[in-house]
Amino acid sequence: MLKEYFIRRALYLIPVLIFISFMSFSLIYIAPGDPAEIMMTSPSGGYDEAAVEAFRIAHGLDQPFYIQYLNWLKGAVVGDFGYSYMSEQPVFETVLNAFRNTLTLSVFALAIALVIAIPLGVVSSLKHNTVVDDACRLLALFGVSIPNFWQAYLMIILFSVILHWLPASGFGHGTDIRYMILPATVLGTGSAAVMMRMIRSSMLDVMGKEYIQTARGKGLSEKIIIIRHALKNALVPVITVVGLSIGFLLNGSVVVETIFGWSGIGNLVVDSILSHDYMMVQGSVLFVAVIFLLINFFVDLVYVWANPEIRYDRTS
Amino acid sequence: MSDVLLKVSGVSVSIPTGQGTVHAVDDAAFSINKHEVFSLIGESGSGKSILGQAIMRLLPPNAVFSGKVELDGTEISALSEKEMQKIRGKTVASIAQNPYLAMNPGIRVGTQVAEPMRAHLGLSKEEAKARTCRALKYFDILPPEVREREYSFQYSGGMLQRAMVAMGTAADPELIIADEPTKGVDVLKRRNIAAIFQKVASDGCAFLLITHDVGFARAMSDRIAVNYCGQIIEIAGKDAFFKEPLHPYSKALLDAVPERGMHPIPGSSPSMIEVPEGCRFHPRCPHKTERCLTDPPVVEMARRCVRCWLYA
Amino acid sequence: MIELLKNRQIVLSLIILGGLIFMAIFANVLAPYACTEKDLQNRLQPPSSDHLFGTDNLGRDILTMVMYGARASLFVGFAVVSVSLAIGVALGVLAGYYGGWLDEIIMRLTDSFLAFPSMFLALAITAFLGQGMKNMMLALIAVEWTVFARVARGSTLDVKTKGYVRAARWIGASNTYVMIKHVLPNIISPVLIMASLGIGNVILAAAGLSFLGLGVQPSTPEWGAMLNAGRTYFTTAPWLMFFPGLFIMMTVLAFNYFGDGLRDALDQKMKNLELEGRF
Repeated sequence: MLKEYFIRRALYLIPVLIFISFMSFSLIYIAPGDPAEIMMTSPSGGYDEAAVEAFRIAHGLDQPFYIQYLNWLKGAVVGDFGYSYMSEQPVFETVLNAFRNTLTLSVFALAIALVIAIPLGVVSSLKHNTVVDDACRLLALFGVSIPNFWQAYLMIILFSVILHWLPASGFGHGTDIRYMILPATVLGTGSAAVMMRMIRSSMLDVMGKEYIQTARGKGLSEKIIIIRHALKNALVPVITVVGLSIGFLLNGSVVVETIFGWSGIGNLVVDSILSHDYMMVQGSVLFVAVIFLLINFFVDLVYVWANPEIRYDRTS
Repeated sequence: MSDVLLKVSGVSVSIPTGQGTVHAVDDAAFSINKHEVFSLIGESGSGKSILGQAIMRLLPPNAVFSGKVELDGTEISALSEKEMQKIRGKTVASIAQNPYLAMNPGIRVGTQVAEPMRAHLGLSKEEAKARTCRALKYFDILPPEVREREYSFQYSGGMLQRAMVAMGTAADPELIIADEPTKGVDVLKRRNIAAIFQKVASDGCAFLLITHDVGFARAMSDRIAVNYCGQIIEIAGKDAFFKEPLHPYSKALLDAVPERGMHPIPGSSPSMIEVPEGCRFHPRCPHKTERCLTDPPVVEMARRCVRCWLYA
Repeated sequence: MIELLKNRQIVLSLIILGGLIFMAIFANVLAPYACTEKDLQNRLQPPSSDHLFGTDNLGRDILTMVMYGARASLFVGFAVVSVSLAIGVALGVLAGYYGGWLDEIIMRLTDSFLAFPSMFLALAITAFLGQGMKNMMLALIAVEWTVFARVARGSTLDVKTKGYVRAARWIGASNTYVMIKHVLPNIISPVLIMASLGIGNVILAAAGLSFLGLGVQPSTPEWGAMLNAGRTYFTTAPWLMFFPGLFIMMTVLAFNYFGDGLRDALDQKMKNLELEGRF
């Protein structure tokens, strides 16, 4: 039953969630030196002895490690990640807002990636072992190998500086699509390449199946066979790559948002690191990890759901 | 002879592979009349299935085809792929050997059975669905409304086999090509398959049964063709064939079935890449002479023919 | 092994990689200028016969910097992957071989590391450890070892069911002996493939961190750091960014191409390694 599978998978999440919360919490302890000092150290490097002591007591840093962890966890569970040292805003709210922007950009990037990957993957598989296939594979190889920061600047030079088609950077209130095209394309490149490869090999696999020959035997046109009989089945394994792509997109967001001045979570983390806003870094990282974990969990369920063979096996 | 449905003349197929060219079909010629059940028997790997694929024009893309296939007076071997699509599933349909592999696991069985109706009969979704349910019911797939919405892996083997037949006959074809319908199937299932095929045949559909199963062919057919190493070496009416097979290989093949004492054929099947000179059976033939090293003629007799020097 | 050299893809990528490694090792001989030689008279010069790749904002020769930069990038790539491989394979084999609670713990630990998108984990670690090449490498190891742990575990589970391993255990060979003599040699191909793809990935990530100013310091000759330094001038002097970026891409491409060729050549079964998120 799907429900049982869901519960079992959900139970797996618990130890992982505990681990990642513990890792996020411990981050502050891997830093050389006293956490209170680190927290109270201003970007210029100085700190006030009395303020450190006050901070230590106020945040319970004089208590044993596990008590500190439990206290912190208690807050984190209800969305209390503390306050930013820089802006004095609640970390959770800031992170949530930034993440919303990252999500917008990522969804757009994912859409671009799929629009590129599906046709190229299908064509590449149908033209298996021809020049077209080689070209598509080479393109995919470039896609995963190109450094996104470099690609970003090349695209800015071409589309903004030379052609003046698109704005080089900026946020455009998060709604103006022109501001999203360049960053989303750069962000989606890696995912597009991985998905294209996946669709290609998946299509090759499916097109060799006997049921494709059966469909031909029924007099269906090649177009219908490819779309209805092959692509549908070939895309099922690609769902697993979508989860993976979310990782790609989140990773890419760090560099892409920094370059294009997009106020998302990647930008926030980099800014926070540069301004020594440790609470913000900790909160962002934990937040991203939890979201990433949940997305993968969800993708897993979609995969099971999209695969009738698995879906019904669990019913019987 | 206006009731000839399928006429195959001079059909040869060769397939280049890494090890050399496989001469899968050599100079095949036969015809099937309307409403007739015609069996092509022979050992596995003797090129029978390729002949079936050649008629359907579904050979692997690198296969080299020559010869002529006429269906209902139309030379289908000369049609464009687009025109051929209108024939496949409509006039001639095929039923594959393994229903679990031949059914798409990602599409509901009912939808797959309905596809030929939608493609060839121009039925709407609802009409096709109603007709599909009737077809499923006709082949004892019950209750059809439920089964129609299920997937292949939810079916039992026998039921899926029947669904395959329902799918093959969905657009009322005149000829069904069934490839090894009894391969890897136990006695009981074999009997069931024979029963469904007979049901379809009694509705007037002609069959080309491609099988290694001599007993099944005997139970089903009107006429028999024997295939050896890519060549058809004998064609005869069923009764005449089983009463008196002419070709030494046919004799050996019949002696090899369990009911006749299971005498193995001496030697082993030749490679399809380097076929023997002359008569392909001569290295294993008890009656071979000098002349068997040259190609034997196809000797026509009353209502049968044989490719052997013994009768020349 | 000889057969691998018949594969065009493998040979081609090996030639490129060989060239890059050669360039890195002999940078001091091959480079037209000294690495830190500043020439303030010739700042931001476009490519010319004197300076094939142009000069940067301090008048340093970019070609020279790119050559020395290969040292840093390749060193980081090889070092991080070697250490990650050692940790990951050790844990993965233990998990796969013994199974049970040990497997549970190691795999949950791996899952937890994988729960963080790699760039964020690396960022977090560099943020708290402080910037610099050594800390950046530690951060990348923290990200990279999981890949090897998962591949090693999966392959070990596969090998464990094989007759020769079961036979060895029946005749009473010690677990350590079986793991080293039977399991390790048989999981080496997937691990090597992942290592090749991993080096490319690490070089890319390291360049990214340096580009953000969180890895190697901007003044050192390292490709990512050079791109970071060139950001300010990207419209007026694009060659500052163009050449280091081109070399990053070429290097990563060669490693990916090599790993890909290796996978195709070694085993069809390896196709499912694609699921590990690498190319």
